[in-house]
Amino acid sequence: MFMEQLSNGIALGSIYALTAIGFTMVYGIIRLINFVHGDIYMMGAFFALTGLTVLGLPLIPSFLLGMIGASIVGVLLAKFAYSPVFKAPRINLLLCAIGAAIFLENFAMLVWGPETQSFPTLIENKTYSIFGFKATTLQLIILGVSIALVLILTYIVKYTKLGRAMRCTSQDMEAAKLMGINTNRVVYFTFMIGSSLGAAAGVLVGMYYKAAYPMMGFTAGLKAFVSAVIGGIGNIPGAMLGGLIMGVSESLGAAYISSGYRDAIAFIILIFILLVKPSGILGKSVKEKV
Amino acid sequence: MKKIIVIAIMMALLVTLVTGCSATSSSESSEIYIASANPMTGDSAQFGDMKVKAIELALEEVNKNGGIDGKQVKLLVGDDTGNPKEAPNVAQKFSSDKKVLAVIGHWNSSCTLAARGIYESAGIPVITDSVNKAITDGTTPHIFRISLTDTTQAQHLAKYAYEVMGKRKAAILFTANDFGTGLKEDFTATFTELGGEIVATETYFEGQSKDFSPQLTKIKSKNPDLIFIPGYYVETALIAQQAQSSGIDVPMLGTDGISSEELVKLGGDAVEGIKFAGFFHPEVEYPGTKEFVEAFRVKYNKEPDTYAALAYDSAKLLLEAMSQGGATREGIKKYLDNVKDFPGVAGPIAFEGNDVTRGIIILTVKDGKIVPADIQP
Repeated sequence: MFMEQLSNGIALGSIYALTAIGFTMVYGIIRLINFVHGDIYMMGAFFALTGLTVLGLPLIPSFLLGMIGASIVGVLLAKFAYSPVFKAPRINLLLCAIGAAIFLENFAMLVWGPETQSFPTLIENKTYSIFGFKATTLQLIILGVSIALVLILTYIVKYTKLGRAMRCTSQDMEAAKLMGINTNRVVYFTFMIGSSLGAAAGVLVGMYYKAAYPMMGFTAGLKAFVSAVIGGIGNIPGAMLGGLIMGVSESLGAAYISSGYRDAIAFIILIFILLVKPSGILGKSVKEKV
Repeated sequence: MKKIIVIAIMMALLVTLVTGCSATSSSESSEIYIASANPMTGDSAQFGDMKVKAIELALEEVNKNGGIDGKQVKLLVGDDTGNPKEAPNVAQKFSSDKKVLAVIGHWNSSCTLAARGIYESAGIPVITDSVNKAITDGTTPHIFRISLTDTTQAQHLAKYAYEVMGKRKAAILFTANDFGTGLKEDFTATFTELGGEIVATETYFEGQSKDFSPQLTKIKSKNPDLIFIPGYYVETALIAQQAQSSGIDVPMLGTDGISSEELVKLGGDAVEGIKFAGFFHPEVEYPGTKEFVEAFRVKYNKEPDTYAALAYDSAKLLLEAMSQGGATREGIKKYLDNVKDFPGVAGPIAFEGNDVTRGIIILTVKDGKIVPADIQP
C-alpha cells in the first residue's frame, strides 16, 4: 500500500506544484502575494470549458483559449486593480488582490452559474504501473507539464533579456527605471505569464477531476501559497519541490494517521518549515538594508 | 444635562417615527411575504438556487390565480452562504421583520441548527429540508422538517444494504460535517445490529477535498463488499471516478445528497449502477408530480431535483396553511401541526413530532439516467 499511497501523493503534489509555479513567479518579480491566482486558475478552466462546450473547439485550441482569456483577465486586473495602488504601501496591493479574488468568484457565478459543471472526457485515462508505482495518463501529463514549465520559466528568467529586466525590476524598481527598463511593461508581462500559467493549471486540473466550479480556486490558491512558501517563495524550482512535499505528506498522512487531519498535516509542515528555515527550503534569505 | 435631554427627545421622536412608519406600511400592504434562507453563494449555492427556483414557481402559480385572499405572495431571498456563522444573521433579519410569515430553509444542517433558536423565539414557522436529527429534538416546535432525518434514512439504507443487496462488509467514506457524521453513526449502528461489519471508516471535507485516492487505497486494502458514501454529489462523482481508476469494483450506496442529474454529468460512466436514497423522482408519480415537472422544465429548462421538489412542496404547504389557517405566523404553525395527507409532489405530507412521515425510494443510475431501482425497500 505504501507505494500506491506514494504515487497518489506525487500525483497530487504535481497538481499543487503546477498551481504554485505561477504564484511564486509573480511574487518573485513584483513581491505581491497574488491571492487572485486561484481565481485566475478558475477563470482559465471556465474559458477552456466554454471553448469546448459552447464553441465546440477541439482540445488544444480550447486550452489556448483558456490561457489567453486568463492572461487578458490578469493584465486587466494589473491595470485596473493593481496599478492604481502600486506606489502605496504593500498592504493596499494585498487587499486589492483579495478584493479582486472575491470579484472574480462572484463574476464567474453570474456568468457560468454557481453549480459544478462537468468537463468532457477528452483524454483516455489509462493506468500504468511500474514497480508498484501507479499513474494515470493525465497524472503523467500534469507532472510532465509542471516539469516543462519549471524549465521554460527558469530559462526565461535566467537567460533572456526580458528575464534580466524582470530580475532588475524585482531588485529595485526605481533603479531599473533609471537604467532604461520599461518597468510597466515588465509588470504587465509578469502578470500575463503568471495568469496563463495559472490557467494552464486550472484547465488540467479541471480535466483531471472532470469538474469546474466558481469556488475551485479558493483551496487551490491556498495550497499553492503554502507550496510556494515551503519551497521558498519566489523560487520557481522551490514551488515544484514544495508542491510535491505537500502532496506526498498529505497522502501519507491520510493513509497512516487519519484522513480527517489531512489538510492540517500540510499546514503543520508549513509551520515547521517557517520555524526552522523561514525563507523556505530553496529560498535565499535577503538581508534588509538599513 | 441639556445634552441628555436633547438626545432623549430625539430618541423618542425617532422611535415614534420608526413605529409609525412600520405600522402604516403593514396595514396598507396588499402583499404577503415568505422567506427563503438558503445558500445562494458559496460552495452549496446550486442547492439554494434550485430551491428558490421551485419556490418561485409555486408562488407564481398561486399569484396567477389571485393570490391568498386577494393578496399577492412575495418571496424574500436570504443568503446564508452555507455557513453556520452567517445563518443566524439571516434568521435574525427575517425574524425581526414582522411582514415575514414563514421561512423555507436552511439547506445545510449546520445552518439550521445554528439558526433554529432565533426562529423559535420569534415564533416564526420554518420548513427545512436539513436532515440532522437534532433539529427536531422537541425544543423548537416551530421548525418542521420535510425530508427524513439522517437517522431514519440511514436505518432504511442499512436495512436495504443488508437485506436486499445482501452485503455484509461495508466501508464508509463520509463528509466531515453534521450530515455525514450523523449518517455514518446511524448506518454503522443499524448495519452492525443486523449482523454486518464495518471494515473501514474514512472521512473528507465537502467543498475542499478533490483527491480521495489515499482514502480509497486504504479502503481497497480492507476488501469491503459495499462502500457507503454519505455526502453530496460533487464529491461522490469524484469518489466514483477515482475508485474506478484505482481499480475498486465494489457497489456504492449513497444518500439523498447525491440525488441530482449533476451526479451523472460529473461522474460519467463511473457512477453507473450506484444506488442512493431519494424522496422524489419524476417517474414515481403522485398527484401533481407530472404538472410540477413539466412546469419546472418549461420555466427553467432544467430537471427538478429532490431539493426542488421538497422546496416546492414546502411552499405549497405554506400557501395552503395561509389560506386555511390565516395569514399569520400562529395560523401557519397551527395548520402545520395538524396537517394530514397534504398532496405533495414528492408524496403525501403529515408531520409527527415535527418530522415528516414517509419512506424512502431507492434510485440508481442506469444508462446515464437516474431511475428508480428494480427492487424497492
